[in-house]
Amino acid sequence: MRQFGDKLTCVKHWTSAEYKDLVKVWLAALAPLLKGRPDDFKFIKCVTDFILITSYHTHTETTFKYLQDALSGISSNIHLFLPYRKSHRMSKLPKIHSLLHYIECIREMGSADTSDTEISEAAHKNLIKEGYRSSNKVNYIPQMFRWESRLFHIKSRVSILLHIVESDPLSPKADICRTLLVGDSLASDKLSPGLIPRINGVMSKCNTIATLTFPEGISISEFIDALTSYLSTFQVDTSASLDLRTSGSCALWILRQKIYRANGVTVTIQQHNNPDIVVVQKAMCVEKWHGQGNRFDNILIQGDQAPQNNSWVRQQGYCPAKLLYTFRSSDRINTGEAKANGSVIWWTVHHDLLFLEDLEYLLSATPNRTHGMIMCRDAMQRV
Amino acid sequence: MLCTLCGDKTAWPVYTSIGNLSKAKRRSVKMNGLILKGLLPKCPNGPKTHTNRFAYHESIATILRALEEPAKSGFAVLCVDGRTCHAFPRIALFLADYPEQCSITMVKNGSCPRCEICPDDMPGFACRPRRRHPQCYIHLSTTAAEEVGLWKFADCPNFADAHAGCNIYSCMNVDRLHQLLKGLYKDPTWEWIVSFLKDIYGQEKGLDLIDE
Repeated sequence: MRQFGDKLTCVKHWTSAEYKDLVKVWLAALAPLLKGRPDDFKFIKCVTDFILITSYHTHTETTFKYLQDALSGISSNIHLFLPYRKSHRMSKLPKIHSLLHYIECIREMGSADTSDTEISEAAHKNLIKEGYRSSNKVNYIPQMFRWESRLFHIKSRVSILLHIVESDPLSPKADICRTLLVGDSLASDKLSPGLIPRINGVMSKCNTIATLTFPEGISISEFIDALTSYLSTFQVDTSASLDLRTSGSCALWILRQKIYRANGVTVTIQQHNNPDIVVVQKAMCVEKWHGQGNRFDNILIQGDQAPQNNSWVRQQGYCPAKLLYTFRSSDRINTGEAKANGSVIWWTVHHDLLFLEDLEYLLSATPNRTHGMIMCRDAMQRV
Repeated sequence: MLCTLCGDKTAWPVYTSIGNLSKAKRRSVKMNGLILKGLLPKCPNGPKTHTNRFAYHESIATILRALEEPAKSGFAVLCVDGRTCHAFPRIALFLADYPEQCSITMVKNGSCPRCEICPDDMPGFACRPRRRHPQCYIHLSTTAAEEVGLWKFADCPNFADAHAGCNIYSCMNVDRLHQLLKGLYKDPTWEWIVSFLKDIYGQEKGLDLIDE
């Protein structure tokens, strides 16, 4: 039973929840008031019946019959309220006319319990409004779409991992997936849209650990190897960096060899105002972790020490949060592939950004709520 | 539907979902049953009303253009069981409130998107012929189309005409929130009841209603 405050007439905001609650109780409340007017009461009863029966999850011929009875009850008594219409006419009420179509719609398309616009009204809140809030409010439409597709990919990734874990919990594959899910199904519970990081506003200082210059002409796989071996020279040195300390043992991480190339989910986005420009991003966006433990889906390795205010990163509306490692990488990296004419294909590290994905397992230790790593972007462009 | 983002900024989003999701999954916020497909343009106030309709259909046609060809010839889908299926995407239904249903089906405001009833007979609960397949209406003249409550424009075909096997009129599903709860329950019935009680009992009806 719902309490409608002091007076029902004072309810300001009518949502579907209020309507539904009122439908449940109004028959009993109105019955004494309408004593001696059976026709009016019958009309109200039919309306109530109709609303409640259409919300059934399944329908049989019997319920269709009830629905038809309610409909004929409404149609035969609707003239009773004629004096209260402003125009004193009952015509031109398409919404009431549409009651006629309920039975055929249910027969064609299944029960009407979900066929309302409530779903999309709810999606306004989750997708549109949250997306807008996550943008930096300047040229926000492409940002909203980017946010939404990230959200979608992360959610689908988590649900696939969860499915693998649940379907065959003992297989070695499931073990891997479990580590990807940070040990438990917490991930999916935490994945409500509000917890996806705001792309802006989480900027934090970038601590430079070391500067490493790669030789010119190194191939991309060599680059990764060199990076791995370089990182392996780090010992667990608490004085080295706060980041290293809170992200668990670096040596342990290297032993597990979890450095991958950026091979996550690829998102292709056409630019909003210029469809010819296609931006390719690779899976990115780590939620700001409110639960137990950290969670990093990506690690951003950034060339410069910190993005300048006018840098590309800022202009895109991104603000990189905490960077675990920073490097000065060479601008051009040899991919080791060759074009048809024999010349070598070079990668350019665009704006000195490079990211590696799937590094979240290195963070099995030390929860730190302030860590919210975010973002990346496939930073390379072919020359 | 139009939704307000912040202050004066509004968006008119279109969502899509696929038919083989269960109801519970589709409605769940967590499961991403709905995908944001696009934002419709909003015409500035002032132009002729039909300009809005043209823009609306043009945008929806653009959004759904990728489905037009596969709807005719099908396309290969890699299914979860490892097999490749030949699938034909279809527009099954549109969930929209009444004004949008009207603009999607190009029905005149006040007519019913699903049947050929005349607006003046409107609450009429007698069964009326359903709208036929859109192909049947293509050759109607403008005046004949207006008799069954359709707009007809030579230069703006309904976007659904390009989709094979799509009867746009039967895609219009009922909308419980707007039709039942608001259209039937709140606006007419509830207000009638309230004014009816006012007539009988005078103004103290507010007090009578507290006891719920």
